[in-house]
Amino acid sequence: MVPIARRNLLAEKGRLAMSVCGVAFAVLLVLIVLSLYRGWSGIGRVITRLPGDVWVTQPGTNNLFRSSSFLPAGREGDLQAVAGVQLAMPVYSREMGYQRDGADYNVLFMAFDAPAATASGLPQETRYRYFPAPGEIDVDSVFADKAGIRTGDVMDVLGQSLRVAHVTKGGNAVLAQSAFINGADARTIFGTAGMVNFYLITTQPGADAAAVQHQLAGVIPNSEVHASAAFSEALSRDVSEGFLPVVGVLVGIGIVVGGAVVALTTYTATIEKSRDFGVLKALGASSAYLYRIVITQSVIVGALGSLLGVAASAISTAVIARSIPEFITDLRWIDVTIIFLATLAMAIAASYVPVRRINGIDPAMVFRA
Amino acid sequence: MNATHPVLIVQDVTKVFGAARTQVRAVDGVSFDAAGGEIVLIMGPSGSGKTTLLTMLGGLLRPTSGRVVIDGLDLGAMRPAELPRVRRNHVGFVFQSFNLLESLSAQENVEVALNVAGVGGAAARDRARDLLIQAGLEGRLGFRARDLSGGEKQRVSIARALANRPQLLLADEPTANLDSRNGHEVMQLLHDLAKREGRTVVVVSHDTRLQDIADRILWLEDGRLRDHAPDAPEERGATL
Repeated sequence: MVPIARRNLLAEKGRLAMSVCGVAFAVLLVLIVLSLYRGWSGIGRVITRLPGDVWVTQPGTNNLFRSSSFLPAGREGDLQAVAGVQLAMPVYSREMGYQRDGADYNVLFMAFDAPAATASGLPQETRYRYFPAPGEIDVDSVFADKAGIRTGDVMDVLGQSLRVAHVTKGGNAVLAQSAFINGADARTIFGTAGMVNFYLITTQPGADAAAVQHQLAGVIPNSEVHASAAFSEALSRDVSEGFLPVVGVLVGIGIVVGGAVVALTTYTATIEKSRDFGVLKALGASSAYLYRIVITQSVIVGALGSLLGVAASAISTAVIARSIPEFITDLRWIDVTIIFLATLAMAIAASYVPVRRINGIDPAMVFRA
Repeated sequence: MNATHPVLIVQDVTKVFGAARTQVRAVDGVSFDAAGGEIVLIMGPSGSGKTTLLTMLGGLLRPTSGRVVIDGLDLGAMRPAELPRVRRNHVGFVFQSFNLLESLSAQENVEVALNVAGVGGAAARDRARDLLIQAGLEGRLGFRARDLSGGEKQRVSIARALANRPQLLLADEPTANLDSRNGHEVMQLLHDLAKREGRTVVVVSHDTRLQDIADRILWLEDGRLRDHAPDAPEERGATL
């Protein structure tokens, strides 16, 4: 078959290029927003990475970052005695501002107060990341990049000088990044004598998690027990629910803009080629044959725009990750596939007006000179 | 001329545009028929209804009354959706302004007519190529339509009209935009098609040179057929 649709588009290369770019920008907008959404909605992993799987908190605590929790200190032994518990640690945690070189940073300072001997039984990666020695601090790499902090630097945290021992990944929660300090330092810095914020429990391998949680519930009066996964989901849900309406609006705008670009291009190309369509009608072309030309034009513009938009999105997310590290992006193939198919569907829908236009072309026009 | 089997039958065809005081009878009670291998030349002044008549013969416009029958198919008895099939398989058009698709090559312009009829691939390419070679355009197969001369365009247009082997060829002022040499070549091509291949050719034109190849000349004035040519010199053909 003669590729009339392709020839029609290539007859105006400048317009084709602009149309493809228009669709690409719409796809770029949608994919960037979706990748940010995906990245942000996964920030709950910050919690599940911590060295424990059950939290004991003051009642009403539903978010490790936003809720305050105070429990009596020294109860880790009681918790440790529960069957199925491998390790119970006091946790000190406080999100607060940290100033460096005139700039403010939101940092979640945390300390897991396990005796060195106990901590030494944990995997090396866990000890390395979460259990700094007294006078040391391990910071998240995103925070370190933003604040220009390197290993060996000294940070002043509320009057306490702490040497940066490690810069690690995985502690970025977008609005705040985590830093881990020693339990003794935390007690001094936070001034929480006789109190801890949480207890973090590591269950024994193979233990019935639900049964362990149930038994933990009664150990400390006036406390609650939460699985790490529940805290993680709560944090992710907070971000998702706040972000989702914005994502919806921006995705909607992207689809409308992309659809308008395709519709305008195809309509203009159809108007310009009205006589050609009249000739084809006079030659006996069926409606299906003519519609196929128009729809193919739309699909070509949509497909080229999508591919360009996907490529631009991949590059943009890489650039964003490098230049704005706290903006977690997660460009997924499933999103790319869905947006690609949605763009093609939108392109086909955008053919509706030009198709109607073709229906109105009188083939007898070909006899007019 | 083979008068035994009329390929085209036109019976009392009338076309009225508008209504009441603005009513215009563009074609008024025209009747004739044309057999296979016959060349019928319809002449008349501008506004006489020639092109309107041709449009109705090609199934592009419905007569207000009367019958048009092509290859035994009564166009008036057919649903509008069936008329494209008649145009694809039974009628070939040659236009004054060629009406080639400018973004396509000469060969593709002919192929398109075959594609429209459901013929594609190598079969369409080979047929288009053969027709253009027969039309003397062997060296122009890949040329874009916009890069061809007027005479070449008209030969491509004729090749396209013949692509689906129609029995009836309708030509609207086929020599009007051509110089003398190209006009003569197109006339010769139409003559060969009728006489060698037995196709019926109906030509609408001002060009009196076409009288040389016509088997029959019909004179149309104010939408009606006249018995003989008008005497006024300007009506003999301003293009001469």
